[in-house]
Amino acid sequence: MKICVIGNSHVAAIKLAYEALGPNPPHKMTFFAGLGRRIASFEASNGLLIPPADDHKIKFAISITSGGLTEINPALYDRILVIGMCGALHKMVSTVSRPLSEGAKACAITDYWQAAHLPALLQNLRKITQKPICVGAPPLLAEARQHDTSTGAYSSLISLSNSLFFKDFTAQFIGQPLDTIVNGNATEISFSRMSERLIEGKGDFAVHHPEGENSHMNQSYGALWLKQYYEIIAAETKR
Amino acid sequence: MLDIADMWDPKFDIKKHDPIATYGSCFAQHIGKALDSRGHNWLRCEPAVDGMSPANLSRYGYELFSSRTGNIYTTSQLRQWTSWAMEPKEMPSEIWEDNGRFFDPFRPNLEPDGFASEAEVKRMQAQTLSAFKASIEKAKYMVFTLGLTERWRHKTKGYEYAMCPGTIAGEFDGSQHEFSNMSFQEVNETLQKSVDNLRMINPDLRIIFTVSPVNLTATATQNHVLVASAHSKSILRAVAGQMAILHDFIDYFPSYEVINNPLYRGTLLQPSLRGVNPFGVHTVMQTFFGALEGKFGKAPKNVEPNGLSGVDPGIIDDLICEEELLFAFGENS
Repeated sequence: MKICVIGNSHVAAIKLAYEALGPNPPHKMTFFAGLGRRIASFEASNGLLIPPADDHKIKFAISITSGGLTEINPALYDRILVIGMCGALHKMVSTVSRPLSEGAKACAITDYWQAAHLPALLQNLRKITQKPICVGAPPLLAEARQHDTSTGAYSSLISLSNSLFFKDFTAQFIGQPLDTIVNGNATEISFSRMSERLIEGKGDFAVHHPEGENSHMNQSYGALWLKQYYEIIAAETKR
Repeated sequence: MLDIADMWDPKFDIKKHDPIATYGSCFAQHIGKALDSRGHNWLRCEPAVDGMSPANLSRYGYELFSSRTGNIYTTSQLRQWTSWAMEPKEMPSEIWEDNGRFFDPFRPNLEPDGFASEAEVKRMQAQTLSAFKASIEKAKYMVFTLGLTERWRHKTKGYEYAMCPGTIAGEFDGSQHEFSNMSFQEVNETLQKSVDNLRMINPDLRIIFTVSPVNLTATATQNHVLVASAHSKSILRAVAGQMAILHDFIDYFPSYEVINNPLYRGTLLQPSLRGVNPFGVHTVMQTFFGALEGKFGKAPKNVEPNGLSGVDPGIIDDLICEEELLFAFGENS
């Protein structure tokens, strides 16, 4: 199966895990990654997603990440996977945990997604393709494990997001693997700490995260994420 | 040109870190926001819901007052809220139902589409009563804006609704509901009882009363609305002023006088001449803070200890994402 992966910096962990699968991965993935939320500014035209003509930075970014492509053509792929493209979700997990009325909770979740850059991207994608779209949540911020490991609120947020927002785009929102979550609304810290090792084997050049960086995850996280995603594809294929 | 100096001689030296609770009629909504925007410690014991847009926060009653009481228009409503806060079981069990949705008679417009169940109404009432009480307990000052004397009550049980049943939700029933326009004595008694309750919850609480400058839109009395408005505001103004004279822990701030002063020739009102326009709100709050600064000196600014505190994690996320992409794609793409 050919998969088109569109997203922001959180694509990195998945790309590294994908590469680690070797020359014959179960599915072929092509990556289109841009900084921040720039890809949301792409326009749908003639079956393609095209970057703004004057945004040379994003043009360069998708060319680098896709291996030379300058536009996104969904017709070339079987599935679309969108990664990140919204702010960190930990505050929304807290919202779901709060003793709010059902109406207030639903309103907050809907508002949150409406204010993200995803609606524009999903609308544009749906103008040009009816292929399955999955949207991967950006990872929760990394923290050291404390006492509470319940993932109930996180799962509830994923479920409510799907029913209140993503179903309108016939898209599926996928949370991060539950076994990467600690304290109810954070990613286990080792998934961010190990990120320095990602460049091992690439010469003497060493790049380190800024001190305190806890929003991006490493290859180990990407591997768990990819495993979960492939299981979703397998389950859907069986149906 | 329009500045009127020395309209208020404040009793209290309100510091920026002093916790302040705000409640009252719709004009009171401006006071909390003004306090907050100037770095004062405005209490929010039912805080904003992350994710919700500013417009929807208001629609759901967040960020308007120190808890989600909705507008408290009358002194008797304030007495109810303070009594219920001390004895939640005293809150009436009446709930309005409309097409499978449920409404709180004491805050009917709190939830735009109504609550999902009666149990949810009760749960949210209990939450707000607890938050209301907490805001009084924590506050050093409470600013309360008196709005109306006209009210709607349950005929036999005596409790008061936020507005006439049937206006937003519920159904008016002449055999159960009645109109009443509070007399000077009733306003005085219910406000005194409210103060007693508030000071029972927090014996050190200091209170600033003000009268809403927003005139009545309509009246249920036989009077012309202008006459009814003057009647209500006069009573409220007189009672609030008298309270401030009698008690050293109560002050009166002249919102009503600032807006309705003939010198301004109605320039602080909206085109409808009822509501206050943004410049009017600014003028009122400028009078408030200006008087405090004039008497007690300028309060030091609150300084955020960390330059990044309060920044949306999504923004931080964007600041560092470039480096992340370099990690993954820098050498082999």
